[in-house]
Formats: sequence, structure tokens, C-alpha cells
Amino acid sequence: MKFFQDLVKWSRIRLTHGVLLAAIWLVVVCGAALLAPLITPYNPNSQNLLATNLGPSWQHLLGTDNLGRDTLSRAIFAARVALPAAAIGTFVAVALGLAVGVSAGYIGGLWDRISMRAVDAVLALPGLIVAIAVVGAVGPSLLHAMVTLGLLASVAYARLARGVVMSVRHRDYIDAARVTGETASHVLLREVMPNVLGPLVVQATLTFAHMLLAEAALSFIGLGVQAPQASWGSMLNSARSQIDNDPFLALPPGLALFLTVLSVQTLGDGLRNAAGTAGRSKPRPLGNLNVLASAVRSNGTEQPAEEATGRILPSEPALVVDSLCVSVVGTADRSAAPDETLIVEDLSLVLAKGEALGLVGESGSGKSMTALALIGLLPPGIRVIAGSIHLGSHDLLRMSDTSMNAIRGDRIAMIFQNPARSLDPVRNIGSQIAEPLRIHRQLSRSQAKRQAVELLGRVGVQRPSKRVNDYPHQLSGGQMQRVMIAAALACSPDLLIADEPTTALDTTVQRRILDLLRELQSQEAMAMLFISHDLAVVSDICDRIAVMRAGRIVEQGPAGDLTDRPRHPYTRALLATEMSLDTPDVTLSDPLQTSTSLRQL
Amino acid sequence: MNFRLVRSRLLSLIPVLLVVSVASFSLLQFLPGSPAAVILGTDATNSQIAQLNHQLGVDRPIVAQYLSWLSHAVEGRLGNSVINGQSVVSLIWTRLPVTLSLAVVGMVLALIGGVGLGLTAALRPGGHGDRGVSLLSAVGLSLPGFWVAILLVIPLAIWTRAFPATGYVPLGTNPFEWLRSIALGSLALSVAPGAAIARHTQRALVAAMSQDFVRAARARGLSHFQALIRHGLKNASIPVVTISSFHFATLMGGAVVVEQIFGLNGVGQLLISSVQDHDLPVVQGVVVVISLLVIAVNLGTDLIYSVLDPRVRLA
Repeated sequence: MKFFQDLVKWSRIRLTHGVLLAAIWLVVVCGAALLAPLITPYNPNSQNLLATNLGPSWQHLLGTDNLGRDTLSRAIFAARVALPAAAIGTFVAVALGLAVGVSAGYIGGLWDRISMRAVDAVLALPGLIVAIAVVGAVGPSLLHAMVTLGLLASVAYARLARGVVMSVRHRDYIDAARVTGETASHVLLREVMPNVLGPLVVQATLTFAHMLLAEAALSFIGLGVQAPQASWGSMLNSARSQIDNDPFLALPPGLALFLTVLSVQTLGDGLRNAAGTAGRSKPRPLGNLNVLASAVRSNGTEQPAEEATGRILPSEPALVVDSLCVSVVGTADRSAAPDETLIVEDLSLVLAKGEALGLVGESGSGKSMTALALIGLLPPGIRVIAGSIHLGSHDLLRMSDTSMNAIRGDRIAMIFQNPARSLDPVRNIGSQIAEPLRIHRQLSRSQAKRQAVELLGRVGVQRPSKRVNDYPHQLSGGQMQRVMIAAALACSPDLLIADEPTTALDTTVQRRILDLLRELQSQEAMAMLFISHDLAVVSDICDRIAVMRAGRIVEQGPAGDLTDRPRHPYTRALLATEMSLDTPDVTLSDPLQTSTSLRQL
Repeated sequence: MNFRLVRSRLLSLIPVLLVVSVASFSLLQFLPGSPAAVILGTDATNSQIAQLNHQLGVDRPIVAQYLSWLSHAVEGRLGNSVINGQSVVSLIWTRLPVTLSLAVVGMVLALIGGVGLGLTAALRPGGHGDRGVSLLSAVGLSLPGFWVAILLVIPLAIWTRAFPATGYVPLGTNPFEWLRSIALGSLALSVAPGAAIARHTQRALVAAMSQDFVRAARARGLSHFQALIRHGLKNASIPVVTISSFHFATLMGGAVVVEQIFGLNGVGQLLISSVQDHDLPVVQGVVVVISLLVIAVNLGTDLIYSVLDPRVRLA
């Protein structure tokens, strides 16, 4: 039953133009091959030396060859060679591969080790050459060649089947089936096969296409079908001998072969996409903030939220964010307004030079999207739709992508939650710290490296001149975050955005990274936007705190005031959860049930 | 380069070499009748045949024959041609440069074209370049190399004579003429691997560019293009190297066929004529040598990994 359902699922292939054309061509080729004796205008092997090398005409739609044989008839009969040959090769590959792979995965142990070693070894054999050699040893026979090629191609199926069997072998339903006394083969057939079937069908189309090409190649060099039998390969071989006086002969068999292979591969790709096994995602380009300039609302006259909490505007603002709105744009239609879902709504912030502002909220509250909007790196499909961001005298939302590149890493720097994923694993840490210096300060490689060593020392990495050549995998999580901080501070930015910089670290390491950030921030007199879900951490390190919930700032004020006298029920709920860590029943959404849908983002 | 890595990779080759040697050795066992019967022809008496078989050692147990064949092969002796008595190794040795030239130049062209197209596609995912490259790689993967060779020969060697239609000029004789003599063949051979490399480069780059470290690099001020070159390309290079090395075996097979079209006297022609003459020691020798070449390329690939990916160096 499950088998059948799977087949139905498999048939849910998206009928693009390509897939449709491919299917039509394959139906035509298969139909022509089946009906060849009925539909071909001439006997494919009957020669007519009075009508050699004729061009296309009504008598001979595709002309005749050097022996006066009708090219169309030969091309159609050639399909009767190519398709069965490819089918035999594919069948051998699938059957043998499944047998070896399933048994290796199911039995395991020595048989598994031996057969998988053999599989690795067969991969090193050059397929076509081995097939030619076997033909040489046992005599010219397309059948032997195709069986040999199938044998060599079976290794892919052996690996595939073994992998699937290994993964389901110890699942409960297999054990359960075994306990109820079913035979091993029965269990395998019923439970394992449906799991193998999907990738197997995709792989089989590739093998079939490969076999078509191999048959043609063998017949081309005279080791496949024997004269006078027609194959697309042997037709191309006789076309080659006529290349000087009748180049057209090379076209029909080559095209027939090419189109058939292309159709099989296109169907395979269609199946692959339908299964979503290796479907390539097509992310859209990063939203160009420039485009949004027109959409930005004219400078809001509303009072900044700051005023509401009775706080005076800082005299020298490093960052001014006014009425920022960030939205998920429906993927179906970019222009349709109803599709847009706000994830940051009417957000206003002011940060003075040298000030640390904490942005607190639960996950999904829009903190990280706010940060990415500030640095202009929102993921595809998410855009700023209104508001303004001013960094000093720069109006960031009106800047081109190129001028934003000059700001990022120089005036604004950012450190991320997961340092292990934020460092390129194949580049040493020194070169990554040096990047902003090389780009923004035009330092030479050696100058930048010297600076990187100095920076590493400043962020507390021991023996910096040695560690500078290390790769990320040689560092601990805390050290990696220190490296990220060093790279962020390289150009002494005006604003540092720290997005949950300690969440992925051990508690003891967290403390040290926080101390480091605090120390460097006061030394550099830079503004810092510190994002966290942890109110305790934020109140410790920040001068002021803004509490964010469901895309909006619900309360902001000096750190001490806010924690001592929270005004908003959500802030009180946040404080409550932190004080009673053992009672997770105090849920954040209880006091405010409204607009929780945004959390699902 | 890490000595321990090289040693462990060499050790892992032993089972591979064993399988290749058994497969090659068993080719000779297909011979209808005994080797002596083939060498002496139909006129020979049974006692003559038995005597020669004894001299050749083929009346010994099969395992003993295999072991002595293997010990000779390890010493670089692969027997003599039954047709003209020449040593198999020297027959192959003189023809190898032709086939290798075709395959290596074909690989270089495939890498340049494939990586270039893959990069073009990744510059703007979802853009015209991306879709164009997807289409091109699908077409390229379906084109039979020998047909492409014929299609290239017709306009470039027959009609215009910009390239020679046949013949090989050794690299040492005249590097320019050498390139001209193999250019069309190499180009035809490079189409399928180039398409595969383009497809894998495209996919690997798209995957690499969606990683967190690319976003972090952009936060340091790298442009999309700079991030693509500095971080995307090196991370994407690992699957691309894998697929390229895999396609080297395909290229050697393709070279055997393409040699026929350009009248190049390489290992392919040797193999095909030996198959027609039933000269099994030569056939066997070709299989051994080409397999060793493929194994050597795979070994080189493993060592390239350790240069590209610092995490492999510790393995």
C-alpha cells in the first residue's frame, strides 16, 4: 500500500515546459522504436547504389547515406538498439546494486566491509575502457558490454541502498516486524523498498542516459552492434567517413541521440525536483535598500518613544532610528501589499556616542531583524518598508549598496550569536580579522596581519602571533567569539551591534566575553547595541534598555529604573521569569495575548 | 603536506589495487582455448601446445598464475604483445602522451569553462545568468563528445582548415602545433565534464553563500562579489574538486573514442586495434595503466583536499 502511495507521490512531478517536451520526445522515440517495421518507409539495410548521399527530399526525408540507405529508417531502427541496450545496462546496475547494498546494510559485519571495499575499488575503474576490454576478451557483443557497464554502474546503487538500509535498520517498525515473526526478506521488501525508491528512480534516469551514450560510443568505434545493423553510434561512424562530401549525415543520428539523452536527463531532474531531494533553492538577491528610499515615509513628526519614558535626547547621537518598519514580503507577488507581514513595527531608537543600549525580548520579537536592518543585510524576502536610519551624518537607507559596503565593517560592525558558524572554516582567523583593514584602510597583507596580531592580543587571546595563523576549528567557542570581536573592532567603528553574542557559549565563558565587551566599549567610546533575551545580562552591561515585543518597543529607559520599576506588564513578566527560573510556568504571553501570531515568525 | 595523511591514503589504496589487479588478470582467463593455441595458430599439435603452455606457466593453478602475474606487474612487466612480441609497457608508453594530452587539456578547458560558468550563475542567483547556465549545463551533459568532435571538425578543420583534421605533433617538437593538433579533440572532450563542473560549482556556491560566515564577512564590509570570491569559492571548491576528479576517468574513456576521429595514435587506438586482433596482454596492460592513472588522480585529489580544507589536515 505504501509502495503505491509512494508511486503516486512520485508522479507529482511539476510539468514544466521542459519536462513536458522531454516526455513527448521519449514517447515519440519509444513509439517509433516499437512500430519501426510498420512506419519506416524503407528497409534500414537495403542499399541503393544509384541513390547515395542524397540530401533530404520527399522520397527520403532525411536523405540517404553513402550506400544509399534511407537515413530516417536507419535512425528509427537504431532506437531499437539503443533503448533495450540502455535498459539492460540500467537493469543490471539497479538489480545488482540493490542486492549488494541491501545485503551489506542488513547483514553488516564482514560482508559489509568486504563489499564496500569492492565498491570503492570499482569506482576507480574507467568504465568505458573496461567495457571495451571485456568486448575484446569475450568477442564483440553489445550485450556483454552493456552487462559490464551495468556491473560497474551498480556501485552507486549499492551505496544508496546500503545507506537507506542502515538508516532504517534499527527503527522501531523494523524491529517490531521482526518480533512478529516476519521473514527478513518480507520486512526488507515492505519497509525498506519505499525508502529507497525515490532516490533510486532519479539515479536510474541518470544511469539510463549514461548507458545510451555508452552504447553509441561503443558502436561508434565498431565494438557495439555489427554492420550492417544501425545504431546511432554506428551511423555517426559512417557519417565520419563521409565528412568531406556529406557533412549532413552527422546531423540526424547525433541529434536523435542528443535529444533522447537530454529528455531522459530532463525527466530525471523533474523527478528530483518533485522529490525535493536535491532541489536547488533559489534565494532572491539581498534586498537593495536603495530601492526602498522611495518607500521611506517622510520624516515622522511623531515624538520618539524616548520622550514617553521621560528621558532627554542624548546630545551627540551616534545612531538615530526613526519609525522603522521591516516586513516579510510575500514570495508570490512582490507588489501585493496584503501579503506583507510586519516583523518590526514603528521602531525608534537613539544611541549616544559611547552609550550601550540593550535590546531585550523573546525570540521572534524582531530584535535580530532590527539589527540586520541597521547593517543593511536583511535576508532575501525581508525588507525595510518605512522609517529612517541615521548613523552620524549618513542616511543609511538612502545609500547605495556600494556605499553601504564602505560603512559596514568600518563605521558599523556586528558580532553574531554563533561564532563557530560565523567564521569561514577554510580561512585562517588572521585573514578574517584583517579583511576590514584590507578593505577599508587599504593596508598591505603584512601590515594587516600585524594589526590582526595586535587586535587578538587586545581581545585577550594568548600568544596572538602564533594563534593568528590558526583555523577556526582549532579554537574554542569563547576564543572564536573573541576573534569575531577583534574583527569587529579592527576599524574602530562608531557602532557595534552584538546580537546575542554569548548565547552559544558556556556560562563561565559568557561572563568573560561580557566583561571584555564592556571594557572595550568604554575604551573605544563607541556606541553599542546589545541584543539579548536575557534581561539580567543586559541590565548588567548596558546604560539603557529597550524592551521589544512582537516587533514593537514596549518600554525603554535607564537600566536601573527599568529593572527596579518596570512599567509595562511584559517587562514585569520578563523580570519574573528570570527571578523564578525553576518555575517555567510563568509564560511570557500570558499577560498579553494580543498579536502573538508574530511570534510564529 | 602531511606525511601521515599521505601514508594513510596510500594504505587505503591497497584494496583498490587488489580489485583492479584481479579484474585485469581475469581478462586473460576469457581467452577461448589456451594462450599457446592462440600464439601457435591452428596448425600446432596438441603436444606443442601443451609444451608452450607449460613454458608460459598457464598449466599451473590459477592462484599461482595470478601471484606470478602480480609480482611481474609490480616490477613493471606486463608481458608482451601476442601479435608482434613487443613489450606491452613500451607499446603503451609511446602512446600515452597523446591520450594524456587530450585528457589533461580537456580537463583544463572543462575546469576553466565550468568554474567560470558556475561563478557567472552565482553572481545573481535566480537571474538570467543563473537560468542560462542551468540550461547550458543540462545541454552539455547530454552531448556525446564524439558527436561534438565531428561537429567541430566540419567547420573548423574541413571547411576552414583552421585546425588540422588528423595527426598529432608532440609537445616537445612544437608546443603551438601540439596545442593545435589536440585542441578540437580536447574541446569536444571537455563539454560533458565542463557541464558537470558548472552545475556543481553553481550549486556549491549557492550553498556556501547562504552560510552564516558569508553574512559575517559582508558585515565586515565585503561586497557580494568579494564574499563570493574570498569565501564562496574556496568553500565551494571541495565538491568541485571531487566531481572533477570523478570526471577524469570519464575523460580517459572519452579520449579513447575521440582519438579515432582525429586519427591520433594514442592508447585508444592501441586498445581498439588490440581488441580487434584479440591481443589480450595489450588490452590487459591498457586497463592496468589507465586504472593506475585514475587511482593516481584520485590520490592527488585527496591531497588537494588537505590544502583546501584545513579540517582534513588533522584527519
